[in-house]
Amino acid sequence: MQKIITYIKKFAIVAAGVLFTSGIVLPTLFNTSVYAAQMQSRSLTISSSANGNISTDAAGNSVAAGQGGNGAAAKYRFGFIAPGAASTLQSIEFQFCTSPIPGVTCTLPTGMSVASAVLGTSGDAPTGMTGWALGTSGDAPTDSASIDGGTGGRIRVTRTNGTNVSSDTASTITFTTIKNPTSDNYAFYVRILTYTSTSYTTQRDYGTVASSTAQQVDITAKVQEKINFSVGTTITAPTAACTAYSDSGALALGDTNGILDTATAYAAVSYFRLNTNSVNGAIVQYSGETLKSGSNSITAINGGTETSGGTSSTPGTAQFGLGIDTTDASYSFTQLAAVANPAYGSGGGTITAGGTAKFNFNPASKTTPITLASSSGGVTCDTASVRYLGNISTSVPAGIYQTTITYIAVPTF
Amino acid sequence: MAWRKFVGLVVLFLALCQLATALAQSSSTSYKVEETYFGSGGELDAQSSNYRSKQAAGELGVGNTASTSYQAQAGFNTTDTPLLEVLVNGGVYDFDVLDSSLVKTLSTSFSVRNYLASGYIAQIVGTAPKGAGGGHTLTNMSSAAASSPGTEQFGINLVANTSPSVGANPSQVPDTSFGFGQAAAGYNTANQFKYNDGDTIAFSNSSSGTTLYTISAIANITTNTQAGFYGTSLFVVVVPTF
Repeated sequence: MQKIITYIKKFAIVAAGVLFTSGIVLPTLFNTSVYAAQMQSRSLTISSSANGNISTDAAGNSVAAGQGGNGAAAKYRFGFIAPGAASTLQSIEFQFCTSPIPGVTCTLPTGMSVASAVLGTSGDAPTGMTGWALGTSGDAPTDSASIDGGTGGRIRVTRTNGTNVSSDTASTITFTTIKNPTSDNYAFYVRILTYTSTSYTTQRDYGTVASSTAQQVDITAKVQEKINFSVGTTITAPTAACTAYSDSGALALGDTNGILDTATAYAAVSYFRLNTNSVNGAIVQYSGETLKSGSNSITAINGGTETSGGTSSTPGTAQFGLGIDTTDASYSFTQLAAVANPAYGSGGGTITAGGTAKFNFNPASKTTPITLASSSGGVTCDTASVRYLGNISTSVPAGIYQTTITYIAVPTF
Repeated sequence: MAWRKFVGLVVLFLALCQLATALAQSSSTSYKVEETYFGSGGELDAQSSNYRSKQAAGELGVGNTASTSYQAQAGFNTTDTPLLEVLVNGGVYDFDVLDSSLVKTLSTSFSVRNYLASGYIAQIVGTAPKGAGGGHTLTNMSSAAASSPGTEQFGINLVANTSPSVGANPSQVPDTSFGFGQAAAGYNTANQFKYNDGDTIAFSNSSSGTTLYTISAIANITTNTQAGFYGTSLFVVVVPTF
């Protein structure tokens, strides 16, 4: 029994020795890894998760490099905290791989290219540790670097700075014009290795960041061409919906009985209201004849010849004219503007002899509509007050004089 | 005899130390434990010339556990490989014909899963819908606001809404023991929509299992919003911090 116990003890001692040697001594003797600290708070912010084949949006518009919808020329911003240590940090290598683990074969993510990468400047210039320059010649950005037995993308930057990075230093480095992997929802990794010298030899820190492309969400919508145009003679508020006029549009010129007089000028007002989403503007035209009663008519103002400034009222002279009254409370032009020459926007003012109100009327508008107002773009909801002047001479035959003025809105989309 | 006992105890101690060294991969400002296990059995990296596996027996608990000061992945079959998985339910989504008197809606979804990170943010990038040929761009809702037909608006959020009825709250897959993602401020209030290119719309403050997010988008126009075909491509950019 004593022998068995002795053998067990000897075996235990031998086994422990083997365990000690294999577990402590050998790993210490043959451990060739270089000490390196892991960087903390590592992140990679890419400007676009679009795959590398995308540089236009759903509407076919080109997307600028570095913007959200451009995966063909994306911006990569690396953020990390370089651990403080009694050593310099003078070069960094970024390895673009399908695997995050240093030492594992690095393969360039499908379709990705970092060969055209440019070190960010201005707002994208490095922060924290500064003074970086993009590697050149054999250290220039490449898609075919030999990394851990594979072929991956590599970007190197260096700086000559002999000062130790002795405290933790939050830093960012941005590269532009990197082409994302060309598959959607594709995760990829960037291994970051820092070195104490500019020769990429003595490793200092390491860390891996991950990112991913993502399938794009294309959103489309249609806005139809639209015009809301109405004419009336009864004042209504436009409201938020740009409510249309809906009355008959009948208007009487004259006294309360609709009778014109040689000694008194009379005016009346109608309205038109326009809303359109036309991109290239809209015009509003009128078309019609002067007042007529059978074969008799009241002569258009100034004999039917438009003038640049318009013509004032002259009671006792046959006149029929019109003009937009910008002084009317219902007038609300925001995008529209009355035509200035010939004047169709001076209908406000007095209509006594030589009054301030000015009018024009072109009888040829019956066949060739005359533009009264126009806009250069869409019209939210503009209301015009169109003032009509009626004067007669003593020779105007008695009768019921009528006309129909038609307004036409022409948006250009 | 005494020295033999002493030697035996020293060797046993060293052996146990070596065992611990083999299984723990830990650090933080104070400490970090990336891969360790407590239980009745298991092997993180068992392998031979013919196989390689992780083994577990008597697993006592699984999943992520976290507080404001720590987080850990419990379970023998956790991995020491950083992971980021972003799945966007992409494609073409059409608001159809916009109407100044009626809000138009659509929704899609994306999911995020990441591992061995201290969290992530998800950003939305891309312009509001823009007229073809570089035309007018619908007005984005730069601050959170309710839908207002008749006002030009383009906005999104990541929660369930009643006005208009669209969307869903973020859901954790398979449950809240594993997923921790949530909608970000400005995009986390029902019936309030917002859109700014590059905004953070979701985040997690720790490694997280899958969180499924639903993006709800609304569009309103005015009576004179320019006619035409509008489109945009939106992208979800997830930035994990390791």
